[in-house]
Amino acid sequence: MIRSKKNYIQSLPTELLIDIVERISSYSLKDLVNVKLSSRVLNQVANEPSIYQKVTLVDFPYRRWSVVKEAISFLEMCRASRNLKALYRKSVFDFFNRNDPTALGMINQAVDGDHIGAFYVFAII
Amino acid sequence: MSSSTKFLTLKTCDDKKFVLDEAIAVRSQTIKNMVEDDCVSNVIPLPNVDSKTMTKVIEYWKKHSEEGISKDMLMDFDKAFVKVHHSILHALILAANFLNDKEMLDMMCQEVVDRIKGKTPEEIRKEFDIKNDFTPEEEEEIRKENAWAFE
Repeated sequence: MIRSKKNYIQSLPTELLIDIVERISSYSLKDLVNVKLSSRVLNQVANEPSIYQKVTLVDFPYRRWSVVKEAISFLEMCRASRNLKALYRKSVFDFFNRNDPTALGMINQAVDGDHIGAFYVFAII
Repeated sequence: MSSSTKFLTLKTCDDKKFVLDEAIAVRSQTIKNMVEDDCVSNVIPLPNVDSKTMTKVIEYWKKHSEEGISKDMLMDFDKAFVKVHHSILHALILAANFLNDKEMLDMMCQEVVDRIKGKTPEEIRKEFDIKNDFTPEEEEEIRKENAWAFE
């Protein structure tokens, strides 16, 4: 096994690396994946819960995701890390499509986190 | 307000001394705390910052403390300031972190983000001289796991 020396950027304190990768994840899912694929250190950082919490789902391929199990588990990680957008989507889907009353709890979590859409839904139902 | 200008002497890890107006030096929260706690005798040691990096930091502080400088001029300055090799970027991030200058730290971290934007893994590695330390199998696995994100 070749000893891999950490180079400059990768040797930054973890909290700074997390800050940097959080910013990337908050604007592009694709860029986040590209970061993961760059190196072990960056892959590790990109798997921190706070990244799942911040990641944008704007470019999430919703039309296809329901059949890809990796995409589903990604969304599950997002919700477990209290990603508001992920909680909101899931709760609205479950409540209106499946009449699932437990979805209210999830909407509540999104409301607590100041998700504007969740406020509306909560007010309506 | 118009008390006489006080100067601080900062000493970097390579024993170079920088004499700086206190009003400018307190852009560093770390130095500000030291000044406020009255634990500054004559020389403030900065064991984590070298003189080359400190020169850049002071250049930034002075520009951002100039009276009457326009926003546009500062933006141009910042743009040019962050255009450095990633090894210097790294040193500046560490210095800003140690000196606790949030504004500067934020700007430098954002520069790293901007350099990653829209790049492939290969291009990211090239930008920062990162060695690909994945085995081909590992890389393939991460690729597969995340392939859905590119559909």
